[in-house]
Amino acid sequence: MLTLLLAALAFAAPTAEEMVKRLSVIDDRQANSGDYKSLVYIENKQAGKSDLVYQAVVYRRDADDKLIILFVKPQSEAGKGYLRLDKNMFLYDPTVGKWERRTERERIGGTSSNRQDFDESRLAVEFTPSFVADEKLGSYAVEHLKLAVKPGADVAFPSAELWIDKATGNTLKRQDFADSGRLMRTTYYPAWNKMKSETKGADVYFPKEIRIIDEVEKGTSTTVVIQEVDLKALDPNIFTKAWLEAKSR
Amino acid sequence: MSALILMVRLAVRNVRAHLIKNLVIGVILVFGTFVVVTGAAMIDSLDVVMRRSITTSVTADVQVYDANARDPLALLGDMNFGGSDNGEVADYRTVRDVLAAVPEVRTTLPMGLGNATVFGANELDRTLDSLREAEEAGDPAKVAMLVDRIRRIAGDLRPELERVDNITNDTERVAESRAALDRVIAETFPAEYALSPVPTIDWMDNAVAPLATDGRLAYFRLLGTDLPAFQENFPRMQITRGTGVPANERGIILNESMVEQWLKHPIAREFDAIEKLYDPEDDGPQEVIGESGTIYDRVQRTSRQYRRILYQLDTEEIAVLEPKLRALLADQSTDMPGLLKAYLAVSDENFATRKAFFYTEIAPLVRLYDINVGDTLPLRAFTKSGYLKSLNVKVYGVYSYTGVAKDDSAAGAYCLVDMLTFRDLYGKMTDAQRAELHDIKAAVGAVELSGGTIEDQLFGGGSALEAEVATTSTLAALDDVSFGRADARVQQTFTQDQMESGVVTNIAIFLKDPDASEAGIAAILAATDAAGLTLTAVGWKTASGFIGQAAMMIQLVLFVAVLVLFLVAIVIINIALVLATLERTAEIGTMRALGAQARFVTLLLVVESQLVGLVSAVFGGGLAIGFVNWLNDFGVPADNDFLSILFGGKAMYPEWRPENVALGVGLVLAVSFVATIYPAILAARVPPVVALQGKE
Repeated sequence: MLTLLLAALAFAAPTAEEMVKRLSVIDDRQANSGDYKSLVYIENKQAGKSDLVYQAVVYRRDADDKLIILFVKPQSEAGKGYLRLDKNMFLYDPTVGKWERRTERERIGGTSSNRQDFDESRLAVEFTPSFVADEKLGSYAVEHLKLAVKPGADVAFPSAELWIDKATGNTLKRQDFADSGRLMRTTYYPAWNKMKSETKGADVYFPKEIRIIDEVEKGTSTTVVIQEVDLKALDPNIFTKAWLEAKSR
Repeated sequence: MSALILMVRLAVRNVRAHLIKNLVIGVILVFGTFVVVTGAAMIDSLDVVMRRSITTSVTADVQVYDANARDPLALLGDMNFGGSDNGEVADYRTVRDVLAAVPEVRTTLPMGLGNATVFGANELDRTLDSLREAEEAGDPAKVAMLVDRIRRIAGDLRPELERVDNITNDTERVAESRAALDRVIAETFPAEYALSPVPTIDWMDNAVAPLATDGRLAYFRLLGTDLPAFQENFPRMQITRGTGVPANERGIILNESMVEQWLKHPIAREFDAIEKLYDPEDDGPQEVIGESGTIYDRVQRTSRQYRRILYQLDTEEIAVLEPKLRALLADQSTDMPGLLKAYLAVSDENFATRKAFFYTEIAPLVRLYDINVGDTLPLRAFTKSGYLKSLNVKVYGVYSYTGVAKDDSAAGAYCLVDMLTFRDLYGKMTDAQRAELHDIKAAVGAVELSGGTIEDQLFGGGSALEAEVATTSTLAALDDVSFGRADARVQQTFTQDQMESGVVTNIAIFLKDPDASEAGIAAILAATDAAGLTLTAVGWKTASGFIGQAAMMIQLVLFVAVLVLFLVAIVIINIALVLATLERTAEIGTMRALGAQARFVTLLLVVESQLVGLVSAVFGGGLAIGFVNWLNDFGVPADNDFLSILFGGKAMYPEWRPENVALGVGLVLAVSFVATIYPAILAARVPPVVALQGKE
């Protein structure tokens, strides 16, 4: 009887608070109380077209919702960059010296990645979770959650589903859906890295690799590899248009 | 000879003897001749004007392009709306040299087709950009003026926010926006701004500018070419503003119809569009706008777009415009937004006055066109390699085709750019670029997934999901990296050799004899095949795409219509002549009884019908010539863009040719002959006794 009761408890759906807490844990583990800088490799494959390849540096100041993605390679793309300040995202192209306002759905550099793939995780702030099922993903036991966007949150897609590894608490898979319910993209996080943060006094987690499958343009996928991460404090003036413009002067 | 004269005299006598009957037949024959001559003249004229319009505007006589292209070349549009893939010709110079040896070819022109966009910022973004520039230039007067304009725009947006508040549940965002606008509207804002201009501009960029309506994205269809040679070889192209692009320099010439439709101030476009609905021939009162209906609703919507004027005005400009508006509207109490709203709510009675007021009083104060001659255009396009490429290109001029209304989207609304700009935006990857990408990939070594499902490959192994890593030194080195001036990487001038060497999408060919295009195409294909080039060659009708096919369809329809009309006429003529001949069996019997041979009788009847036919054909041909001449004087109007492309102008002025008349006369005589000969033979065969007894 006791065994049955324990089994039932083990399989019981988590409460709303527990699910929010799980999202908060994911967010907290990826957040650094100070700044964040990473070197990323982005590769986009599209059927019938040559691969798009970039190397970029991502600068983040999560406390102020600030983000820069500065392309450094290939040479023809060097100096282009995205700047996100609060809820605004701008694209700068040094060849024409112009800034353009971009939306949350912007395909970074024409790939299937978007701002959220490089920015801090805000799952608990932006979404309301609901439980779907306990499942297996490959050889890992995962918890499958459904996420609905909260009013006023600036996200690329209004709903998503998440598969969280039960053992480590890391997100392994995510699917994003359009308003119509159409599946837009599937994202896999096959491995995670962690690094000690002096400012946070704890580990900061980041995916080692992100595999994004475009579910609309079949045969299109993007791989993001986070090659290096640095958690030291950044120059206070980095998150300005002037800083990005100065890179190409 | 005397027999022939006798026969003709007899025939004339007989025709006069059966005048009514022959008049009826004659009228039918006149109609038949008229239809054939007019129809043939129209079909020929359409072919001539189409050839003149299309070959002298963009297609030339023949086009050569990649034989393996996914889509056929369609220079004047197809159903892919500019997304066609016409393949590429790797090196223009190679093909040009091969074609130079073809005797039928007069000259060749390189062409590169592509699309580009230009992002149009919203009015607040534009003003903030100007403010930033004014700060950098240290121009306090301009700064004060622009800050004042921003405050005015914020003041206008404030009530709008209250309306948004009533329909949104995102109250937090509305509260933030309200606070931002209130800060800008406040009397203390200019002083606050002066304390820290750049951070305040940055703040307005994020907090205030997004509240304005989004900017517009303008689409450009580009045709890269050797610009001086294009002007020389396409005589219908005329620069209407500015100049052509100097030889061997980068630049763009905008198409006037594109400028009018996409780059003109939206209020001006509305005025222009409504004006077109009025009948210019009618001086009396006309009702276009009315008091309800589509146009009335459109006018009401336009009046709500008063901000498109207001946001572009400075305080001093408002001070100039406001009294004029008050005088026009006889209104002394309403504020400026209200005045503009009232002004834009035009009616049939005041439309002409309001439109004139716009062009004389308002247009000089606002940006009538988003882009003007002399501006630098930041063109942006997705390249063949998939990267987004932007390029600043100077606008040297605006062109249109002679005879085409400036706001008609005629002759493929291409904007013409130099060949190097086209190639940069086309973005064919070089070997060096390919090698660079290979090196980046190799350095990272991302594993390519293959075989089995993605999830099995990524999660099937059961390896550890987490690893601990440490900071490395590469990133710190990147902090100080500077990429140098990006615009300096763009080669601004080029040599003729550089222009001619490299990729094109198609090549325009002018033949020495444009009428012998089939022979020209055969010779071109023979030469390119012999040179091992996988190219195809098409005539101007095929190369023009949808327009050419539609035009061929129109010609076919016209031909079928003429044919049907003529066939009907033939049947009627035939029946009439057969009946007329058979009715004269007794008369024929009399002639036979008096010694006339059957052959003489048959010939007499044929001569009679040919006489009637000839007179009718001459009369019908004359009528047709008169009608075509009348059309030539007044023109067949081109009521829409499609027809204006076909006609190469606002109307087609058809011309008749002697062969059209010869065809009409010849056909009618032939029909008369065929319709008469058989019953005449039958009638002549009837024995005189039987014929006289009236049994047949």
